[in-house]
Amino acid sequence: MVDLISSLPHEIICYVLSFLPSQQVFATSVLSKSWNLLWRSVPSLDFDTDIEDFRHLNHQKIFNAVYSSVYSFLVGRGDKPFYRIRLRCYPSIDITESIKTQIRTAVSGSDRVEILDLKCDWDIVIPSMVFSFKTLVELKLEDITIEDMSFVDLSLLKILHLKCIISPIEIDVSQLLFFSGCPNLEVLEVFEVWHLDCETKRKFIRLSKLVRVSTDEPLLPLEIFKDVEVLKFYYVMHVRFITFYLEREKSSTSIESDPEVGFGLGSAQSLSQASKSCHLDS
Amino acid sequence: MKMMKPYVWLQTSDDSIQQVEQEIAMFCPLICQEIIQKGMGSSKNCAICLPQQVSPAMLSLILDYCRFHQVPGRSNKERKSYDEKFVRIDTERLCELTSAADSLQLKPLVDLTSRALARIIEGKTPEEIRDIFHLPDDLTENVEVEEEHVDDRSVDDLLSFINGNDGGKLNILTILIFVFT
Repeated sequence: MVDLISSLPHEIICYVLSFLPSQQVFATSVLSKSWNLLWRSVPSLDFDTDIEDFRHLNHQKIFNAVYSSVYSFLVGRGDKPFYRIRLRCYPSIDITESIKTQIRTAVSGSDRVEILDLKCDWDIVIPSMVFSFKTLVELKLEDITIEDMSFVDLSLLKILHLKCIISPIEIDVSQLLFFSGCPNLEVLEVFEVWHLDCETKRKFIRLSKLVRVSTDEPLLPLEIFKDVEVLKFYYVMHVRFITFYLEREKSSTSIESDPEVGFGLGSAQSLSQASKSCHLDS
Repeated sequence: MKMMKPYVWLQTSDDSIQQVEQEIAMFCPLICQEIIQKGMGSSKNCAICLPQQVSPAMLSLILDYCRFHQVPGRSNKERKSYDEKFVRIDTERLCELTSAADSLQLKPLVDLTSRALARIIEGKTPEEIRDIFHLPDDLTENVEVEEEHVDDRSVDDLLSFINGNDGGKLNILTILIFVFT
């Protein structure tokens, strides 16, 4: 029988493996001698424990073991850059300095990264240079600390999630969103960002490709959400204020609110009725 | 001004030569370069010599792919479902197709087939992967010995094992963590 896959170019095999979880990539080293060191060249880091199985366990030891395997993976691999980084775990009290440093080094050294998805621990600090990684298409940050976000240049970015973010200095999202920081943004989610501010006095550059927004942040000016298809708000707002914008929106726009919030905006239907009545009043 | 030629001549790995719609063939960057930069492919005598990886069967598959995606106005959903069906072929042909698409620098198809290959590998044990791709197992003996101990180990053992590790033992460590998680 002919070996089917090993005849493929080295880069292609690594590319194929880059779609797999790192633990499995690591495991390919036992396939055969020629695969023994191949895993080191795979340009992706993917550890995801943010799944149901692990929530039930909720065990510090397990998280520590995960962080340790991330560490071993990074050390064994050397400092070759990543094209994709996904690390979703839970905060752990025992993350050592060397693990933090390894993760930080891996992130800073991957300036050609396309997908950066980190949910780990507030002790891990995202360096400011990440916000000018020109190849980034997807940036998802959760339960993490951001060093500084005052300069943003992400021209290819399509998906941005900022959730439960801590920052030592103020995060001005107007810089990020409206002043051509990410002109191609399609999906935006902002939740529980500390120190968030939004400078609204200057003129906006409209995000023309934005189709999906969900946020709990009242500071974000509604004006920029005019053309989006799906809006989800997770906070209470005066109905008359929001309907003012609804009138001008496309008929296809749907607005949803979180039913658990209770005091939210109610169904999209009642909103559109409110919008009509508001229109008549004016 | 020179007229655009509607057909282009291509020579596949078995030395056979065939005529293909130029518009479709130009989808492959490699063929495109040959035509534009070197003026090749305009007659049977100066047919474009395709890389060794491209057999007539693979060329025909690749042209089918290009032909479908070249039609404007198809929805994303249509394209996606075509792609899904397109890679539902046996693993041997999928590997050949990946290799052929790569040699023609047809990135969207390389991407598609690579993801399909990754889906085949995902969740499989090294043993199963060897079976699927007919990989020779020149490392098995060492591995089996180590795997027998897996169940006896606690997290602490694992951790100390991980922390006190050197590069040479990393493979074994992987299996342990893999089984454990």
